[in-house]
Amino acid sequence: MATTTTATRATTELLERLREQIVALDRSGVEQTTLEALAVGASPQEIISGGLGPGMEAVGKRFEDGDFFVPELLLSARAMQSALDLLRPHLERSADTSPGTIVLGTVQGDVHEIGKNIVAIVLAADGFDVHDLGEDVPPQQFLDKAKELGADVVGMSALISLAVSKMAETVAMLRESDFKGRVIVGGAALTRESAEQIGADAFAADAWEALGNVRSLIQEVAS
Amino acid sequence: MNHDWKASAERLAITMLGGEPDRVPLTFLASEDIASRISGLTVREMLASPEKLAAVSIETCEVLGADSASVVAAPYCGPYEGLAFAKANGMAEEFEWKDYSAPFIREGAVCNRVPDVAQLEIPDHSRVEPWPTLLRAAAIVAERTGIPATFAPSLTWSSIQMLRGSQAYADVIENPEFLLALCEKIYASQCDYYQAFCSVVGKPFFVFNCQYAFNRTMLRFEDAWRFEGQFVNRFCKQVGLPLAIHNCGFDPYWNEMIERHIAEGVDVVMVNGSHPLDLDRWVAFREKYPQIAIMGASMFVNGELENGKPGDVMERARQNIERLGPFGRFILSPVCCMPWRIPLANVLALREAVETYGRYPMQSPATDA
Repeated sequence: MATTTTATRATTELLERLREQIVALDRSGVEQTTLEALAVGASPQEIISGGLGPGMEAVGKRFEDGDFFVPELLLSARAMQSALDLLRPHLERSADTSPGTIVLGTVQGDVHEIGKNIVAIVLAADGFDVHDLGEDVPPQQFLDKAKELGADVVGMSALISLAVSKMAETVAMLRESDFKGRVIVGGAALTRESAEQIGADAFAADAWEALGNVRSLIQEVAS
Repeated sequence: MNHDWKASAERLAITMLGGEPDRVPLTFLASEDIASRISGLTVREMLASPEKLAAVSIETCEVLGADSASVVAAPYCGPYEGLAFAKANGMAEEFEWKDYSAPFIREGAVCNRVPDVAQLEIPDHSRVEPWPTLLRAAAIVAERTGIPATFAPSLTWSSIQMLRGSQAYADVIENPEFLLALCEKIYASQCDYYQAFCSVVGKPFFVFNCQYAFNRTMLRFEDAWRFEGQFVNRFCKQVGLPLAIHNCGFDPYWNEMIERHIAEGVDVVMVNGSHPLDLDRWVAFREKYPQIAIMGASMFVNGELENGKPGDVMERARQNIERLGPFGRFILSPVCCMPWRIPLANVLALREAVETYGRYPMQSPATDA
């Protein structure tokens, strides 16, 4: 009993430290603490939901408040990614444990990746099965991968205005196919209004809005 | 097509100087996409010769009913600057050409392969294609239309993004000295571009710079100034020209940028942006800065233009014209470059809007728009 309590206390302290290290953008600290948490018996799910996830939420709050900017988002996301890489061998991932399958990419004609990468990490941290197709992704590739995986949600990003046409083309291709999932879009080239105009199911201004909306879309698909 | 370029040139000049033209001018950032669509040529076909590029550029601007005349590849020189750096450093294969849209270099490829900034070779813009073609075409367009060519450098963030990719954002915190060294290289390259421009096209009237770092969601203002603004400011002082600022981001630091440039000895003569979408904020901007021309305001290319109908475009244009036109120094312009998918009927609605609502003299600004 005492051993269990001690282990629990150690885990609690390590998760708290993880949260702080994510906000402090301390990648090596996050890696070290993740390994320590595993060593004291914390499960990957505990580490994600109790340490990394809340840390990223705190980063998101600071971004919303205007204290953090893209550099901080990028570095915190990289710290998070490093931790997820360490946890991956310990994660028992299956269709039953993942809340949904997401296909992500920056649309054809655009090579900007930061926003999309951060979204991928935040969704992965929440347990989603994320398949990142990278940048400059043609419409057919989105469709093929979504059908291959039976994806619940396809997420697309565009930063430059010229790329929105390809995004609209991709949405139209998905709609005309037998893809049954939902489509979420984001990126600096989009507004809520234009996202609606091109036929997307949801828009996200940042990674945390993307997470909330993907959760809602998954529920829609399931119901 | 019978396009009265003389009238366009006068309209633009009078507007920039704060006078009252016959009507609100209309300009476009016409780029490869729309030019390909109008001409039926691929981008490489357009760039085959200065004469061909100039002809396509003029044809595109005339079809659109624009009062501006510019080379259809010049409004943002980031991609071609990226190509020039790639060629100068032996990695032209990193550049990806598209048939009917703007080409791009793989972001970060150049600095990934030349990690030591000191070793990065600066391109010779008088020799590395497509710059000689772009510059000669700009001279031909200016000569045939009488519209002065726009000097649009990419100091510095658009070039940084091309050369360094997203790693640049990490550099802001982790490796600022590297980033500053890269900024200096880009600065030197843009000075070379300026020399080439002056020798082929002539001295421009202002520096039309893409200032992408200055967005509230991207960088702190002080970081944006450190890695972009100070270089733009130094450049304008070095060449003795005022500044026109392009920023098509969602939340630019307009006022802060202008105040800082003015405080550090550079005049700002024009802003070219699509945001904020709230016209009240543009009216407030106009009242605060009566000497600065506004090209754009809330005419976002991915809004009604891309997804609406001609009537929607007309209505948005009417609101912009009626709120800002009466003050003068206002140019209707969709921002940024127009995507392939924009219905041409929507683009042509802009010309109809300036003809219908943009005639001077105008009544006082409408408040019910």
